[in-house]
Amino acid sequence: MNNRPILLVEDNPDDQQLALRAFRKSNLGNEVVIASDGVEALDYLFGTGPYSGGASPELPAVVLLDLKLPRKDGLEVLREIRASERTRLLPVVIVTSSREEQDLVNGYSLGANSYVRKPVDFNEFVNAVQQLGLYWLILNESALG
Amino acid sequence: MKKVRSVRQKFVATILVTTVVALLISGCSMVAYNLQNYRNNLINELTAQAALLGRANTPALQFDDPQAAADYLALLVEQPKVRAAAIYNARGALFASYSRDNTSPGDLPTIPEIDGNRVEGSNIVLFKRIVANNEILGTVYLQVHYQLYEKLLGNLGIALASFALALLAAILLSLWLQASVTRPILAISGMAHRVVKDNDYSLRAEKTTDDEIGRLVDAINAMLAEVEQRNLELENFNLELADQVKERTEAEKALRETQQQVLQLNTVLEQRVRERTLQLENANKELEAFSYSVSHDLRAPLRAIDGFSQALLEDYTDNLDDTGRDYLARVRGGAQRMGMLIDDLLKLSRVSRAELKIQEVDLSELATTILNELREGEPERRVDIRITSGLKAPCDPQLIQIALQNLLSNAWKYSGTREQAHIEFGMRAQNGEVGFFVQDNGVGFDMDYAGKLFGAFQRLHDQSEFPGTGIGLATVKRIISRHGGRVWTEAALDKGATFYFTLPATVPAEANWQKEEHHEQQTNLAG
Repeated sequence: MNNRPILLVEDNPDDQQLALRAFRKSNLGNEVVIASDGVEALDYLFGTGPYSGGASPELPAVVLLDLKLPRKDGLEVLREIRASERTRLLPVVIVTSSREEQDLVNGYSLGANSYVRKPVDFNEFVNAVQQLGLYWLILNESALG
Repeated sequence: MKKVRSVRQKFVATILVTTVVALLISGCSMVAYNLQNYRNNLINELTAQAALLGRANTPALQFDDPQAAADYLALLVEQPKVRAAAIYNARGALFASYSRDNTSPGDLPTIPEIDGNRVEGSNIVLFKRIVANNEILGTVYLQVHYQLYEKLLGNLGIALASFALALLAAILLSLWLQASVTRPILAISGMAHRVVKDNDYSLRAEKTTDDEIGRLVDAINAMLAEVEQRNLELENFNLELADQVKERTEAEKALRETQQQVLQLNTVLEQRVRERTLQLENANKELEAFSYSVSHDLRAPLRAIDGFSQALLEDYTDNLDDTGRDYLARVRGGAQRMGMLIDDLLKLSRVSRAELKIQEVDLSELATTILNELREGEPERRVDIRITSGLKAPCDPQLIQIALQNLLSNAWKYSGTREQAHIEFGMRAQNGEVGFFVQDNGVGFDMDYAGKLFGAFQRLHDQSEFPGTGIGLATVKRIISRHGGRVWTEAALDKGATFYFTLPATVPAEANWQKEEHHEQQTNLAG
């Protein structure tokens, strides 16, 4: 359970690196899988596209979902996650680049569990994770830290 | 002209009838008088004749000498009027007789009658007693040709002749007279006719006499003058009326044209408003899209700058000297400040775009909450806070919260250097305008620069002393403007500042009442 990966859906390479650094510095042991747009994220979750063929990958422990994405944007991805029986209860944390209220309202109304501001700061991430009750992530950190 | 002629005829006829009647009466009277006179004269003459005959024949009777009497009677032949005569004796027997036409004695009366006379046919007969010494001796009988008819004819002839002459004279006279009387009347009549026919009231009758006709001419002329004057006035009045009607018609026409133009203009304006509204809506959408991009994309490079600077500082701190670390800190500071500017700009833009949701808001409560939060942020500061309670206004709660947050934060910030700071929120009239106010005893500012205060990015203080982006008051102004209100300020350098704002749709009667009770209601929140 606590070894399940974290799915980071982020198209900006800078933000990807900063997030990866934050997780690395926190000694979080979980693998971080990166999808750089909405289609890629859904392919990973549903075992389609490049991920088809073999057995579907393990579902991530949490999805960090940017809203502004090429091809399919974050809200569309969220809608499809909530629409599928397999991923209906998957914890999704929205990553926003601003406190633009409408983004948060739309996200929550589509079933987002929490949000963090960019760049993903580890402390903020911990707050969001605590809200979700995913204590194992922090436990993992404290175990390793 | 028939009537005119009849007037003339009437005039002549009147004169003639009058003349004829007068002539007839006088003629008849004259004839009657003449005949009466003739008769009386005749009878007197006969009576005298009979008396003479009686006296003359008295001796013949006394001596009973009928021959002498007959001789005497024969003398009557000199009197052609006497047709017959007789003398009777005292006993009444015929004594002597005379007859001009040898009338037989049988035609004579057989016996005498008493004294008297009478008309018998064309004759007058007369009896006269012969008296001597109071003794009746006999009776004289005279038969005289009356000649009344001849006399009558003669008289009538004279009368007729004079009648004819008089009538002729009357006709001539009346013709001459009527001309002098009727000419002025005819002149008046003709003039009146022309007046009626030509509607020319300037005509005047000529006055030729000073009598009643002259006065009539005067009266008619005066009347005509009056009528002419009235007519003139009436014509002028009519002209004036016509002018007025014309003016009014033109004015109405102009008005209709103007109305038409206004209608057309309105249509054009409405069309333009629709177009502009559409343009504005589009612009607004574009602006929202732009803001969204700014919010997401403009911040991305800043995140990289700040994030990797932080990574350098944290992960490679040993490879940098102090100067390098200072530079990197400055890079981070600049990036963070840029982030704040972007945030504030977005807030300002949101304030402009957000739809107003008006409801009754307790501004006093809101101010209390905001100041309590500020106090929690810096609990060590000594700040005396006064808030007039119960100040309410209908407004958008979120926007007014942002405005009050900005004003109260400024008051808090700029009074930070005071040993004992004072911050007050309330309501009062300034220059006849009732507004809410936020007052502090902070560093204030020079009123010369007050105009710059509400522009975006305008700052009057050193960034190092009082940090800020210069967006706050621009945001406040925009929020109050969107509520239809006004913001103004009153300040002096180093003597604090007061910011006033109005929410005009709003200032309720309740608030006015509270204004008077202001001082009693003050709540001292100073801790």
